[in-house]
Amino acid sequence: MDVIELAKPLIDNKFSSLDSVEKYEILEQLIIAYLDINDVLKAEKYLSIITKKIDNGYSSRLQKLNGMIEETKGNYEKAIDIYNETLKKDELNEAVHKRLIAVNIANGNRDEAIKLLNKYLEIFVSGDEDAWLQLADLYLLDNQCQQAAYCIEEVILIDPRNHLYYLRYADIMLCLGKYQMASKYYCKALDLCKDNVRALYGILYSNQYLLKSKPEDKLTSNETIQSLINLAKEELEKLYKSSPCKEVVKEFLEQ
Amino acid sequence: MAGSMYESQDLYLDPSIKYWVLFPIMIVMFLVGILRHNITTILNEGQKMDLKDVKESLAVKYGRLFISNRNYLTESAFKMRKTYWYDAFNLGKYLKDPNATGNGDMLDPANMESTMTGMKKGFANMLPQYILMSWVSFFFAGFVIIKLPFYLPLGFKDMLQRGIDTANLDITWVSSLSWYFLNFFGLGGIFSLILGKNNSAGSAKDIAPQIQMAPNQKDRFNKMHKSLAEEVKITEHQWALEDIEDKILIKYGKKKPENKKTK
Repeated sequence: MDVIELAKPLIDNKFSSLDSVEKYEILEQLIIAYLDINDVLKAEKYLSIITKKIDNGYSSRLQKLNGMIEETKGNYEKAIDIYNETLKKDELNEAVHKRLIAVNIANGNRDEAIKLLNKYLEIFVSGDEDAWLQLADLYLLDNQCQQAAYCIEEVILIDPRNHLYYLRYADIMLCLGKYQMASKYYCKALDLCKDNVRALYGILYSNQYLLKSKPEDKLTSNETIQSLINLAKEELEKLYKSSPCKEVVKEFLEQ
Repeated sequence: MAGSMYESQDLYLDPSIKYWVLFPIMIVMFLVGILRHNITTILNEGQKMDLKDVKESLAVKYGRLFISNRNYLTESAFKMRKTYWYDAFNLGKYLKDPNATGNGDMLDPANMESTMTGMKKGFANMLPQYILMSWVSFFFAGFVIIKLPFYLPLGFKDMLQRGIDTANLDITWVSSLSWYFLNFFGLGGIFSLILGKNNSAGSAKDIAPQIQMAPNQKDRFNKMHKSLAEEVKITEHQWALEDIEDKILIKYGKKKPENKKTK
């Protein structure tokens, strides 16, 4: 909504001080904003302004907007056609690749989306964290934890300073039953982000499991595990001190 | 003699010099600059990237990232990637053309393209300057055009009175050829005002690097991939999370740093 409020006067004003490039960028954002609030008519109206200006050229960016309008209308098949056409002409357009994948996800066509995303990531092998995260999500929906773990590993490679990625990785490890790994990565997340509640809970869980598991699966001594559990309990209690659910947490921790 | 240098020399210039020499040089130079900007933009188009180009350059980026951040992965994940990427780099899986060779490629048609664009760009930049300069020195040789409102030391005589061989003329008088040079260096600011910061109307600064051409692109990536293969081969895995538990315990004051090694 904010985008519309700010951008509309800029575009509607006849004597705006914007140069043409800036104007197109704002128009694009305005159209996407209208699509977000499901106002297809307005979006089409503004799209026609652009089409009028660029009547002789072919623009993959314009095609992308066309496809997005079809998406909003619910014509997924048509949108997919448009994106495929566009990709034939401009195969490097990342945004269109991503739209195509997004349509497939929205359409419930998860296998196709995974296939496309894999193809996309084979080309754009480096630097696209969001794509890897999306792929990990899709794999998790299919319960393919191994593959999801691989995706998160890629993301960690790209940005090893983001604690959220470590949390994700540790969660997946916990799912796979690799408690030692999970504990390590939860610790790393806690190291990067002090007093992270999720990491503390993670440490608590994984180490409780780890304490019970066979000695050959452990890399750390029982002593360390025990002190990690105690640490997590203490810190959690401290963090919940002023919150209304203090009692519940305390009870839970004493189990 | 020396005193006369600083006495005002009364020299009356024909006003038509102003209209037929001073302004035309400036206007022509300005127009040529704009023309050149447009020509360069046209020549620059059509250099399209290919999917495979992107692939090979991103693979290099990936290799660098992998080598620098490898320690955050688990050992098994590291080994898997290491074998895969060593093979990939070594066999040129991500290369556009794994068999490209380095030497004697100037005449290869695919390479001619890039060589030609380099030359075209160079010409588009150099040619107008040559033509303009010979135009000025041919038609307006020896013209005295304007008088500067301030005095300059004698050393500037060469700069301001290029093309006039009189020892006694006051330094404040500027010759036509020097006017050309003043414009050449001075118009850059005006161009960036009109055409935007990264224009290619060309002031003095982008004349110089035009001549050198980019070496063979294809071969460059082949070599990069080969060297990355070597680098990947020799990387060792040293897990950054080896004693992360102790680190946490120390951080939260549960354990003293001294007993770090007791395990």
